[in-house]
Amino acid sequence: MTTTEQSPVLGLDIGTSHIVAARNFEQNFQYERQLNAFVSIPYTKLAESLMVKERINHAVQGDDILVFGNESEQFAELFHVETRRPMMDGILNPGEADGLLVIRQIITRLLGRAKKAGQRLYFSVPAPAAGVNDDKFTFHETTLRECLRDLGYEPKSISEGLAVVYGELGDSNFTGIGISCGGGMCNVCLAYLSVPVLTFSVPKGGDYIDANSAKAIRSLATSVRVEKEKGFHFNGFFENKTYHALSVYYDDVIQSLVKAMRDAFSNASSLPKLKQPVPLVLSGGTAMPAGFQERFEKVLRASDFPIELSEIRTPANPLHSTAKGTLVATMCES
Amino acid sequence: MKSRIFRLRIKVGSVASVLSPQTLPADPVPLEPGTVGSDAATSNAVVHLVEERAAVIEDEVARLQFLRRSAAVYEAAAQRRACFLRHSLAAPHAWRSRFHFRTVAIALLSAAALVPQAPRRLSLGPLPREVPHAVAAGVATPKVWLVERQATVEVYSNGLRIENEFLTSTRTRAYRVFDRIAWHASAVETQPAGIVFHTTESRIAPFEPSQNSRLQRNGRSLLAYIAQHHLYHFVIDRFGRVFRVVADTDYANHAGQSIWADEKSIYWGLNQSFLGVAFEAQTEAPSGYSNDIATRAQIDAARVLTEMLRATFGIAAMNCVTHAQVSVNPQTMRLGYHTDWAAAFPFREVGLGDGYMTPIAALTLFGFDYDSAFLRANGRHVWQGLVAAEEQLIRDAASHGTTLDLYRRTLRERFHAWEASQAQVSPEDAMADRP
Repeated sequence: MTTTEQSPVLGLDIGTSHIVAARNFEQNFQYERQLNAFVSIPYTKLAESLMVKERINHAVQGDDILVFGNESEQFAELFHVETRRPMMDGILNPGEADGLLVIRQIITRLLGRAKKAGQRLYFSVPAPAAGVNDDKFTFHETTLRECLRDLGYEPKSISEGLAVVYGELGDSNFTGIGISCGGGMCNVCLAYLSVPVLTFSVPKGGDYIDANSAKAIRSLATSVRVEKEKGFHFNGFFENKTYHALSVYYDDVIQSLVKAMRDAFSNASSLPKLKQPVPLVLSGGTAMPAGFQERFEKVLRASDFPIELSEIRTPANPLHSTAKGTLVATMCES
Repeated sequence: MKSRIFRLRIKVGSVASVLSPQTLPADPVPLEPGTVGSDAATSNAVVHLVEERAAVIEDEVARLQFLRRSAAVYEAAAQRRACFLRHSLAAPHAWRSRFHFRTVAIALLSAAALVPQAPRRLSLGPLPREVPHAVAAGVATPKVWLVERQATVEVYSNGLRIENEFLTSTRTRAYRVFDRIAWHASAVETQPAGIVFHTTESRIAPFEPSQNSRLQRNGRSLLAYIAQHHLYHFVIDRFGRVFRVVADTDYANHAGQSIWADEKSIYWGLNQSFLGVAFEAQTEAPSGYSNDIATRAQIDAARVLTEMLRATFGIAAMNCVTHAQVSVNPQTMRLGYHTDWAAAFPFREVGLGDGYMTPIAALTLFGFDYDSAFLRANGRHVWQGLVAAEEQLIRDAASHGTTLDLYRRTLRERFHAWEASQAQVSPEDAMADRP
């Protein structure tokens, strides 16, 4: 007797900070994520056998072992080095020769090869800054598409902001503003009845906060990030120097995001006059600290934002919103 | 004629661009060659319809599919329009001058139609122009004949067995059909022109062997009640037994206020003109019961009964409809006063084409509307016929060079005038409704 394995429907969020896979298996959405980072350590047989034994994600590249994914952060802490980043500012890192190899390894670890030839898969891509048509985004998208095609998928791209709309704004007929505050940048999309009306990015994100905070307190960006993720929250005044620096640069990102949004929406020539206020969703790892939404809302309300909002909300798991949107997009065509 | 086609193209084109990212519904559409700025009302109506339909689709992925499909359709139409404009602009100068003149003229005319205080009258020519195609036209009329008639039982060549134990009579059927092209009533007809399928929405028991006595008791008390009130011509009980309750030659009180139209005729008050066939069933079964509205035996019985009725009376497949498709409320001008078989009627299994594809006549001919409750009764899948009717309405409005709103109002005025004239034909029986 033979059994037919049913392949789950997949979606993939390829972010600067994390790569998140979403799958719909037996009507359940499941998510798995890996840090989009790596460290290289000198190759020895002993080190490799330990990696295999401990099931640590790694790849041998010449004289180095590249430890990638979630474990890379622990190795970086251990060796007191910065993690290397396959992506920077939302796109493939041009200064990182091994970047694409690592991304491919992470995707293979998360999704495996396509279960059947031509299996559909939506993956997220960043949008250029408002009013900018930049070729580097084309290179990023095309390279990832080829990488996924090599794994047997039939890939289609979706902008991160629109993916947030698909993932989180179903209850408003996919109308509203989706924002993904990621590691490399913030992506914004206004959609009306699922159709993207205005999509753009702001080139500041979690990495900008980490790097500048680290500079300010003379620390490593990786260490700052680890501390940030341990429990940073907005509460006004911080005795902790790291938290204080983080607070300053978070504010900078929020101000830049709101200003860019106000400018983009005010200057857009084809902006619809919406009959009703629309919801706004804040997602992504950078939007996770407690108090982020309130701070953002305060700054936005103080600005002369041209679109009336019904609510501003953060989903239960902001790290999964974009991946969920890519999955919904794939399901839509399956 | 050419100018009408031209106008239609422009109108449809601007409706088509509704969902494109560049021109959203509330956008003031610029008056440039080929775009008629005053189409905003029509565009808004289309978007409103899309929003309304999407809102009742519970599953998010299905809702997104619907929205993206709608957007793709409109995008394609917008591209066709752009192509048309490119060709137009490439035309010789003289033609282009005419083109500009027409565009401006159309824009002004449409703008006038949108001014709130402007006269709200539309010349009542033969409305509307488009005649629905018979989606079930390919379904041949079967050949069935009476094999044997006993005291209370009839047996037909296709295996149909009709029990006449509960047979009653009312008055001989007599009705006038209305010619939709010539727009006048015919002579009095006595043969049924169609079939309306119903559910009894009566008390039901689980369809289990242990419930035999309850199932039978329910069925018999239901039949007695239906016979007393002459509610349907035929009832199919849960075991698939077919009972004739009102004679085929008479009317029954099954359809109430109802409208249907085929390619030639309009029928109003289907108690007289259509036969009523009811399934002993409940649309919303109590929890723990099967989700199927009808049993397998009932569907099989409906198939052979429909074959026999179509063979006997020459009924077109297009005129075999569900109560939800024909039931209207003239007070509110809405569809779906009754919503039995608003979804899931097994048209194909009963030997008919997909009846839900046929455009709803009450919408296209008389400007009826519907609400979200009606859409919910449709279930997750909005009828293709409803969509087709709306699209036809938009096309008709465009071909009359007017807005959807004004066109619908004109149709409604026409309906009220027509309703009054029809009521004189058979005032007391035509609209009697089942309790």
